[in-house]
Amino acid sequence: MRRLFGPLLILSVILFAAAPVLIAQAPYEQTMGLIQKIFYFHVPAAMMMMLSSFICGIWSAIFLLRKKPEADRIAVAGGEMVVVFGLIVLVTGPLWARIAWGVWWVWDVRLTSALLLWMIFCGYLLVRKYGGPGADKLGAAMAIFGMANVPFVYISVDIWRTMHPKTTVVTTLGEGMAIPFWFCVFAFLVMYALLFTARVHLEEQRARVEQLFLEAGDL
Amino acid sequence: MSSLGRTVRGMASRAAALATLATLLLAAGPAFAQEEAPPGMSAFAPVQNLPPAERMAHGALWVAAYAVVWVGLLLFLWVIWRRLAKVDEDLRRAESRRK
Repeated sequence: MRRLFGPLLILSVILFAAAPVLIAQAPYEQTMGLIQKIFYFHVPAAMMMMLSSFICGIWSAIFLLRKKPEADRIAVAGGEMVVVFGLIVLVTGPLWARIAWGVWWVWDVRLTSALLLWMIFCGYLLVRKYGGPGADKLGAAMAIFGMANVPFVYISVDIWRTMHPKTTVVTTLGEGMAIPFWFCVFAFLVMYALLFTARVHLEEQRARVEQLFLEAGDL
Repeated sequence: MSSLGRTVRGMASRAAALATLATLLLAAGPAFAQEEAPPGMSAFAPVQNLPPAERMAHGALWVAAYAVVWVGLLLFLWVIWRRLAKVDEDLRRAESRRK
């Protein structure tokens, strides 16, 4: 797995260095101007947060059903990635909102549900760290609950009245905006693969250390 | 102080902290919210000829957003690397003790 780190890191750096060039060439949005260009990093980060929620939830379900420790290790890595990408979404969103809406934060359904999703996974990590015996199973149940929240977060803008742009902004992007946007999504996917691979590897190494100490009778 | 006293005192301080947090959140809510939410956009309207003054407006917030992404991801990568180095060290120690 470690052999993947180098190529993924190089590819990530190249893609993240090229992204601002493409974004700079993308057309401005009529009413928001420059600040709308936060969209090119904000939305891919949100996509990675949702992808991570599914990874964490699905592998948690596998862990609960089949009692496979490997599944739990993948779920923990996924849970941490939800919190990291969620934090990026929750910081870049208000920076955009401050100009687009005139306020940093609105307690509307999209923002509140995204915050709740992030808090569920923060809770998941806290349970995993401080929950003591049985925390793995309790955490897994929390992750499934968190994953179930994702479709509601996604469709919330289309069902309820909210200031947040609807999901159709992505599907209706003109060519000038669509190319840099999907390029950024790809860049985030590669970065996600790098971070996720490294994070899963860390969990595997930890499990090996624990096993060795257990065999030596130190734990 | 008895253990019961310490437990009660700990619970009381946690309850006070929670109550303070809840009060702050409730007080902050109306300050951030707008009175009437206009409907969200369903499509972006691209424009090529924006006046130069409008093009670079709010550049600081835009730069801040990009910095958050770059710094956040690089910091997370660095943290994983450090944790991996520490675990590798533990692994080497455990293996050498085993031999």
